[in-house]
Amino acid sequence: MRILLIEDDNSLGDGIVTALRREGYAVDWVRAGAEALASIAAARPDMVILDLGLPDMDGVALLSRLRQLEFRNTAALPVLILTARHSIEDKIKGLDAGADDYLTKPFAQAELFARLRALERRGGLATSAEIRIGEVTLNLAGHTASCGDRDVVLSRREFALLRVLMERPGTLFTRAQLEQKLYSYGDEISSNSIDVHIHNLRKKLLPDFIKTVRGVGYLIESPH
Amino acid sequence: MISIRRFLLASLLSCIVAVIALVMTVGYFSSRHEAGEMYDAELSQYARLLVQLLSSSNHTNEIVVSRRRKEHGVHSPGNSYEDKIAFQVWNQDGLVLARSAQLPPQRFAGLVEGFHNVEWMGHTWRLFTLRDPDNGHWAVTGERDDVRGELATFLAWQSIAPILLASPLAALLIWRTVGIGLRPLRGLAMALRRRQATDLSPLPTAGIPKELRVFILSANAMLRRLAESFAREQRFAADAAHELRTPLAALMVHLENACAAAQGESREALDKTLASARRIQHVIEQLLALAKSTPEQYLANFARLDLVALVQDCSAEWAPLALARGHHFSVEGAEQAWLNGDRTGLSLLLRNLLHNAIHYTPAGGSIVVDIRNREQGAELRVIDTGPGIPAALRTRVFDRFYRVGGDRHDSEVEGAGLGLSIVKYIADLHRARLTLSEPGGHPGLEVLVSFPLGAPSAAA
Repeated sequence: MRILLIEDDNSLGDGIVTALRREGYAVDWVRAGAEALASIAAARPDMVILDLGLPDMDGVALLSRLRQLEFRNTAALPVLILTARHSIEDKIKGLDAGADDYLTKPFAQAELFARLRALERRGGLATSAEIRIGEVTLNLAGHTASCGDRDVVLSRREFALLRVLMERPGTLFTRAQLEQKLYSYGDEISSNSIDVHIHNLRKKLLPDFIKTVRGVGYLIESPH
Repeated sequence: MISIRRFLLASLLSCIVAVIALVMTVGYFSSRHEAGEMYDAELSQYARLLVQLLSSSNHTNEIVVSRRRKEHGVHSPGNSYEDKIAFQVWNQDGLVLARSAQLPPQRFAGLVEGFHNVEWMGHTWRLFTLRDPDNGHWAVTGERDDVRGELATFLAWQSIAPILLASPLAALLIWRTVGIGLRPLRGLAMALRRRQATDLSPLPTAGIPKELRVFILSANAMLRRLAESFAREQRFAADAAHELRTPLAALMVHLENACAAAQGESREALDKTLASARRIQHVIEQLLALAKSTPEQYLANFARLDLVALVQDCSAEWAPLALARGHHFSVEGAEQAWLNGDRTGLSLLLRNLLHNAIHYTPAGGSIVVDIRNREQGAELRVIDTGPGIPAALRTRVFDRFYRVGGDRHDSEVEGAGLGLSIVKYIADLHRARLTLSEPGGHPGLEVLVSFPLGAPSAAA
């Protein structure tokens, strides 16, 4: 898995490269937009981590160019923006320009790794298209699930819901957010049916695998 | 308050009245003078005629002319002014030949030719005395002075009265005209009132009268300087954010890398360093939030929002941390609670309250966020089972950089004593009341934010 890191701060870039290599990624590190374009032209990376404040061009402009370029299929290249810009407007601008995710500095390494793993899966890059948390395993390619050594049959909506929660363990989703996620999978769903699906998932998997936060929503806790 | 319109009306009207009074006085005296000359001419001609007539006739009887008011029950033609004019003719022996009835049969005046003023029967009379050099007859013609005054007064009134009668109309016209003249000023005032608190764009200069031009140009110069200084402040906050966050991110990445590689004692030390770095990060974010937030910005972004949905979004961010620390976390109460507020500000308020509750409550505690719709407005409660705040210190915790226990504060909790002062600041902007108390039934802290029903808007 090759990652292109575009970051102009020497110390931060160096630290991220060390961390990513420790996690087993191959990392190319460039400090400017022009270099980044040259690097992508030479060899297409699997994922890109992009800082927005580059010395020669704005990160959002670079992202727009990547999304328009025809060669090396950069339009589908997973891009994670990593920036010191915290405002909601900046976040929307970045995501609208075609970023797959947006993480603000400073960040915890665990969060960066979790988001990179989610990008891998979404881009179909993961070596095994599987998410495993505790005893529960979700096979994204085969649309199957298992709990321990027992296969579990899930409806399409239950599978989609479980996938949303398992892709971001430790993240709490409100009912409204879950509805929205499922809606983007092409399903219309009422908030009641979210509760029904969660109820069914608990029955089919483990009773306390999905946690309820009363009045807020649901989450699956991180394994560590 | 001083009204330019009222001042102009009063002063213009008084000016007009003063000018009219002056014109009237001058008119009265000049009319009086002219009338005097004319009457004098009449008196002298009348005297000459009498002298001529009486010298050519041989009357021996005294002629007495009286105004006959009625003759055989019929009004004879004449005028009441006849009583106010009189004449006398006498010969050189002093015998009266002819006279008006109201004059006595004796000689009326001294034998001096020319015009005289004489007091007689309570009136001033204007007399003309003439002597015929041929036969030595004397003639006196006279007229009461007030007749002349009446005419002059009448003439003066004739010219003034229409003007005085028309003065209410003049007042109305002045009022309207001044109103029209002041219209650009009113337009400017309205334009200023309609502006958003954050709108620092220049005022329009098109179609502005030249008296207002200087004012608008200098106001625009001031607005420009203000906008520049705001922009500079914003830029400073943004630059500071960028310049602080990036090296801090680098510091934390390196620390985590070191943690991953280290063992034993050094690992422990690095973990503590990392905790301190997180504390710095927290403080920096708080300071940046304060630096970026001006009341104008918050008020300009006021909109109707659902507090419950906002609490859910913020809780989604913080509840995982609460669960990781073994807390029970829940949001209770209303399904919806609509109010007027600033989303960013209220998120910051909630974040600070949740951060405090989660961090100060010992592991395994309980944190409840409760939202109610009351008659007087929405109520937000954050209730924890932490150590609480002693009643005596409950007002001090809103001071910036104040922490309960001061430097001896449990340093494992990130904080700089800014959280509650930010909460207070945002609550104040929303005119919400902030109350700290001990929750009923168990030790801990209950923070109550009571929002008003009619929340302030940008115009306030």
